[in-house]
Amino acid sequence: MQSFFASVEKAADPSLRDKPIVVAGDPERRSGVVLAACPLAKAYGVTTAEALWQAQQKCRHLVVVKPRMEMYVRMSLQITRIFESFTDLVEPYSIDEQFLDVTGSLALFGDPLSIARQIRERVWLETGIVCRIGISENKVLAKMACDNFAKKQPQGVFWLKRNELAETLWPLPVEKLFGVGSRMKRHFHRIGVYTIGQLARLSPEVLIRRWGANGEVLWRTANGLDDSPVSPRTHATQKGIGHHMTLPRDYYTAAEIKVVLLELCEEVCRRARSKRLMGSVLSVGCRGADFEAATGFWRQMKLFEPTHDAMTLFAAACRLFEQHWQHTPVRSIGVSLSQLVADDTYQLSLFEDKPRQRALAAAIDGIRARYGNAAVLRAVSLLDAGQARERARKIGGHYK
Amino acid sequence: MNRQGDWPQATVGSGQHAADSTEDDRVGEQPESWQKTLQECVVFGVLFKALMADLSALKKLPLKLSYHLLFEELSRWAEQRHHQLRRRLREQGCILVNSERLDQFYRIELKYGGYLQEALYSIELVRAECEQQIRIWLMQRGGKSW
Repeated sequence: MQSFFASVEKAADPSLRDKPIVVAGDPERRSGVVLAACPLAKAYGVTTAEALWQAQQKCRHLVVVKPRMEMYVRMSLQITRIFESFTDLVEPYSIDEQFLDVTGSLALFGDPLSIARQIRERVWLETGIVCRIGISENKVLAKMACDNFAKKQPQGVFWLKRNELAETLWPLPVEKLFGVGSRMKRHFHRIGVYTIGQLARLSPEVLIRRWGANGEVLWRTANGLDDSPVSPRTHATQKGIGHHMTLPRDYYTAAEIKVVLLELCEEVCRRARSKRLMGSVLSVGCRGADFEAATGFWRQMKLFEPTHDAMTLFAAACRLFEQHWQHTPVRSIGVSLSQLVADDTYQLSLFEDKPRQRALAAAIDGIRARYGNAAVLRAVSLLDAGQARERARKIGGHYK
Repeated sequence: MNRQGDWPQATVGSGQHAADSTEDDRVGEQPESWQKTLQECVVFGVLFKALMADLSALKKLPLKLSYHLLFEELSRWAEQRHHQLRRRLREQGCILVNSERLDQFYRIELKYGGYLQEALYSIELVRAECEQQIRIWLMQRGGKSW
């Protein structure tokens, strides 16, 4: 979708349609980053993920809109349903990106270009959102067709054919390849690979020796090879449950960092309980404010037994944190639980009343589900370091 | 739909391959596609219903002035447009079977080309389009008296 959040806002409010707008963190506090900028704002040089104050310096009459994540999620589900009227093979990739396998729909709706046109028209007329469509024979090529070509076409559709890669995809810089970030780009530049074509022509053995399985994946991507099917149930099996939080300021002391750690453990366990799962591997990570000069850690440990009890998880998280934290300021913290198993069977203990703990957690979850996450809080969350109250007003770190 | 600034055209092309396709292929580029008529029909249908609901609410209020005439004229206009669009839709081969408001969107069930199809309109978009139509109507009325 083109500038998804901004497009949703423009569709919902006609007065914004001819104005440069950004959807950004918190306009009242003048803080946060730009989540989405409309094409008019982009014409002023405003880019996604830049600080709001920088965007406002570039465009003085920029309209800043507070994010409404619930509406964006709802709109994304509506668009999925529109896609499902063209094919049953729809795989959501992110809130504004989806893969469709239309192989079985060609007889009914026409060739891929015609289907793309019909989809664009329906999405536009029914939601007011412009979508960009990349067409190809597999998922990675379709994704690159969309990111590198369709977005630049005024009509928003591009068909990237595998037998034309040498003329279309290969001349592009290597960082335009799906899966290559800034760090990988530096590695490739160091070995003299500057374009996707140069990477495609390398021997896969060289890449495997240097970067293992990821090297092979990148080589296959550069050559347009991808065997993964479009699977509507790809997210049905949960492998891990994690929460990550960027803090409003640097946290310096263990005491205040642990407040956030506890809140994250609570959130992870609440979600695990709602899905009736327990996890036996805990991961904890922290990062400093300067994301370029990386400080911090991301470590994991195996728990004694699978759990979804917040205090058990918190005790283990504290152990990991104390072992690996090097007393540097922390700006972002993450906790995740993996190796998930069903929670219907668990080991009873002579020393703990686990059924009682579970009943208590279930009661608290029930209250939170009915009255919101801030309805029951731990007392530490009322401290200055606590983020739970603020977080209860958000989805994925952005306002509901 | 109002199209100002970067607000894009409802009609769509086919990317770099637009030139390869025939005129008839360009569904969105036809002067008035049935989907566009359907969207307008839904907007005017909702606008008419909303106006009637507001008008009946207004009648119960003790007001200093009467706004009924304004509401009645506006609702008459919306109803008339709705019927016109419904007729045009029938001429274009589309028959409305059912419409309902679900939690998240307006769901329209229709018959076109022998197939039963559905269209899902976002509530926010329909509301915004209704407000836009009222604005246009007020501007068109200009100095006319009620």
